[in-house]
Amino acid sequence: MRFRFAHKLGTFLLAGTSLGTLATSDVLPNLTLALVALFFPVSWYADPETPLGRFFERMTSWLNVAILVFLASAVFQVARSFPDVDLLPFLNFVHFLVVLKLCQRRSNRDYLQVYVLSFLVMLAAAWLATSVVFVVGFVLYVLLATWTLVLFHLRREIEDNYIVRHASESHAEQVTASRVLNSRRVVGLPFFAATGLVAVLVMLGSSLVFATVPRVGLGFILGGVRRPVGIAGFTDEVKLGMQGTISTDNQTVVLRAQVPAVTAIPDRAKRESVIASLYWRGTVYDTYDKGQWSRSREDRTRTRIAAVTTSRDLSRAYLLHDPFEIRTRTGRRAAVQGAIEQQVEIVALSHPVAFALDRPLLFEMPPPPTGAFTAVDLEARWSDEVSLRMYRVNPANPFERRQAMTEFLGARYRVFSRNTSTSRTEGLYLGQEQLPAGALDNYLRVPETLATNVAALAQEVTAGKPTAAAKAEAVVEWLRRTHGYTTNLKRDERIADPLEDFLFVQSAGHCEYFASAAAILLRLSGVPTRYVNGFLGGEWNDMRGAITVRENRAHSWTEAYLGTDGWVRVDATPALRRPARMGNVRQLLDSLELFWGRWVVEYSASQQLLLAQRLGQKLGFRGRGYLPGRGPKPLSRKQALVVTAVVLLAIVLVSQRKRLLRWRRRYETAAARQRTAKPVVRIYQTTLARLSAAGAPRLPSETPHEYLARLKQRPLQGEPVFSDLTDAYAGARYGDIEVPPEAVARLRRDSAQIGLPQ
Amino acid sequence: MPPASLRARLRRWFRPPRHFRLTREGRWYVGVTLLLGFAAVNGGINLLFLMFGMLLCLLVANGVLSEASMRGLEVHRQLPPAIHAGSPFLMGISVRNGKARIPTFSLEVEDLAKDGKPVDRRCFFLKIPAHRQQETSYRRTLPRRGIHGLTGLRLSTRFPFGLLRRSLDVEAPADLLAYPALLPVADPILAGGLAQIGEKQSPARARSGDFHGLRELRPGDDPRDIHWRTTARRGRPFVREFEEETGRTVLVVLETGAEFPAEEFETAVSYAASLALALLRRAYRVGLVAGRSFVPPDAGLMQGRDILRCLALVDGTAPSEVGQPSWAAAASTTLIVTPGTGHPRIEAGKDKNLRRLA
Repeated sequence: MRFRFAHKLGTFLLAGTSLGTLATSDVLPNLTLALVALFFPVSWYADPETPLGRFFERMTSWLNVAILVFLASAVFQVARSFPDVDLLPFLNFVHFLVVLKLCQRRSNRDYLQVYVLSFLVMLAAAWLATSVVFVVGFVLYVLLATWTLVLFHLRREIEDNYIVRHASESHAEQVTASRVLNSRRVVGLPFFAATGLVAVLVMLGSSLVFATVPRVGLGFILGGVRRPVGIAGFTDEVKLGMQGTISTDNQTVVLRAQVPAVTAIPDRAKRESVIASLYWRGTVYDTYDKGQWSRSREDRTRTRIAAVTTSRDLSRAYLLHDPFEIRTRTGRRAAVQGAIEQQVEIVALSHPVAFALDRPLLFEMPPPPTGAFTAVDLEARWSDEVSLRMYRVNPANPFERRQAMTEFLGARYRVFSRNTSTSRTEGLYLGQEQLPAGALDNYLRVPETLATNVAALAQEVTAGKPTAAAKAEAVVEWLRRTHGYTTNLKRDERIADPLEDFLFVQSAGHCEYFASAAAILLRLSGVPTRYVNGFLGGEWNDMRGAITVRENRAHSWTEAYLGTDGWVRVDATPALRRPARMGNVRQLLDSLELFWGRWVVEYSASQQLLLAQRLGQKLGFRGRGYLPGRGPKPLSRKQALVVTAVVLLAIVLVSQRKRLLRWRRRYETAAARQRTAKPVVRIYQTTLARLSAAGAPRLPSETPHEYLARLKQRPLQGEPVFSDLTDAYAGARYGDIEVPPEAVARLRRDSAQIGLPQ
Repeated sequence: MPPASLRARLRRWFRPPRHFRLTREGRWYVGVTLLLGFAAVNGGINLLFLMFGMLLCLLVANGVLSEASMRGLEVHRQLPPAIHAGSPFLMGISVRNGKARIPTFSLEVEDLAKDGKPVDRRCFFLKIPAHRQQETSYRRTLPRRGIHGLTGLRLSTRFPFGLLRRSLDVEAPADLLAYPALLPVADPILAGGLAQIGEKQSPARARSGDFHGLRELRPGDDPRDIHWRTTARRGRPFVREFEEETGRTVLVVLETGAEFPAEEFETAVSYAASLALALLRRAYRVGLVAGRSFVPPDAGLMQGRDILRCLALVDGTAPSEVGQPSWAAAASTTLIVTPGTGHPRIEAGKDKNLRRLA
């Protein structure tokens, strides 16, 4: 592959990967995505020497003006969004810059700017990512960044050393930078394989850093919030027809739950049938006006919760009490004992709704992670509703709440809900007439603006029904008979109230209309009701034995106060058939998402400690939480010292192995030389050592005869002998000339005379 | 063992001859990495920890790869045959990559001067494959004559990401002897000088004499002596050699003394060198007296080198030996070069009969 092409390809792939990774976070407007998709391929053909490249070069001044205008616009938009800062305009600006720089790439500086911008885009993707898809983008990004940065560095070096000389064989050859850049010999498959291996190591190292850097959560400046996923229908007000439109395409996961009672069902069909009938209760509203449900927020309807700290793992349990329920300790305990347990995980959601199977009795909030500065706790609302709340806490004492936060990042908790098949509510509630006067007024209130024909309709539908339960059945039966289900809503704008429009004009609607109609018709016939938003059903994941609830399962229903039976769910919406089991691919993705969420996005100091403990146990260390009597014995002090010494010695040997090998080689060479040296050589070396000690060493650059000539310039004892010795040495050392034994003996004897005068 | 030696050995033990420092991009990179680490810790955003880890590991990979790239290298310096002050020369550097598989990329080699600092030029090797040797050279000009010491070679690389510059100093001491700069010698001066020995000089006389043989072209040879047919056949330039003529001996005398300004003396040295080489090219036997140094008259390339070496090292402040009869007798004529303002004074003659030429 030509070097220039490899570098260009790497640059485009790197930029494309970062843009693609950010695009998966669903925050960019479609216009931005479309423009990037259009101009990104165009920029490939904008090389400096092409007509397109020259066009962009000519337009540099205008494009600089466009950059300034774009930047000013982005700054203005961001400034206008204060205090809820929206950085989307900056993201659009960065996308514009990336594509522009790709079109205007002429110098190394342009390429460097592309890399910096790509990194910023990748950072934004890391900030906004909620999906496991990010990890695919990250892996690709690391691989491509390694390749591209190496190629970029080489390119810059080539251009800095514009003219280089290669003389690999014989003669120097001048080559220009252009020729090197077009060479196929600089990088090839081995280069990409080796740098790819480096990228893999970088990824492993990144994972190690990720796992080991302590999560202390300082929260100095930014508060540390992630962008949550906003889902309509769970705000303080719910407007009919304006939100909550259910789309089967909306696959955003809202919550995941493990329900042991469901997991225990062996038959798949039966299990799916049970899952399809699970009602996940969320928000409750009691006031209806002009097509909008809201909460009256009166103290008498406020949910009562009692906090209990469990000694087991310092989690905090909350017992819920309906304000209209007769509070008997035995009744509540009996209900909790037979309750359906759920482990619920709320995925990043903008509204802190405490979802639970209808009807929750007890919430158990886990203790905040070790070292965390935030915690999620339960908060009472109204009409038997509770919500979640994030608090800043003292890390030293996780139960010391310091400040409530407006942000919400999701939560995980345990809930026990009433099992209607084993737990009866009869006797737990007073009849309507036994309650204090006005106790249920909120749930009977109907707006005065509602047309009188709605009341007439209610009377007509419930005529002849003596009890509240019978009235509820009649209303449900009437609604299902007269109206169909549709998500394609129609609306007659001449009628002010959408409920009247639904009751008298339209023939179909979705759950919000059915629930609202049932609630209002029952109120008009004297039955207290409240409006509930939540989810219906879910999808079973075999791989991890959990239920996943997506946004497209949002549902609304009514709760009616049926005397001593208390609040009973009344779902007037016609039954819908939706698959209660995921496909295999989706199960796999969902499991990955779960792992990603727990071990990456929400990785915390607690999980770090857990991992460290597990690792310590694997290595045989005894620590806190280690079960007594299991695992190897701890080392004694003596053994520990020996192990430490061995480890240190090993480190020294490994780190200094080259030096040791060099010493050994030097010793062996010297010994071998000594063994094989001819006698006259040994005599000469001994004499040299003596002369050196006397202050006349032989210089490394001197030949024996040059050394002799130098010594002759000064008084030298035994000069004739040293002259003979030098001749004999040079002959023996370099000419392989044998010296007769008698001559050797004479030289050995006479060499003692050689020396410098004192 | 002397304390200094012990200290030096200890320093070598604890501080191997490898250095690394951050480049400008590297400093920015480290700054961004720290900032990102702070943002990750501050915000508790786990995916930023992942990005932080990536940046850290790329920095570590930079260090490891640059170390791997610089291992197993053998570097040698190839000194030029002659260096004249003020004239550019090429210093050859050859590097052999002894690694089994890994090529070395983006390697820079610099000569280290006596003060341990690199000289102003360097050699660049883009890629040295495993088990291969490459040679290149850098062009350099020494400003003054004399010995210019080199202590070693510095190998450095910014491979692979340009964030760190890792360098390794290799001991390779060498002394570069810069001969005096050569100046053009005016023909009238040369002709006048040679006329003192009773000969009418012509350019052809320089290449006169009996043909001796052919040899490869060396620096300083007269290009007119190139034997073109052999040069074309062998692919390398060859010149004709002639038997020297006897009886034509010139002694170039350079006057020294503390009274001469340094700049004027240097010009005189250059002029003496140029004069001697010009005479040698004309096949004269040339000798030199400079200060207390004496080069007996002789002919040929080696004589030119001896004269240049003597002039390269001559001390301008040493007392002059002009007037010593021992060397004056060896020459048929004498050219005395005396430092002077603007142009050195040239006198030619025998014994006391000197005639000023310039």
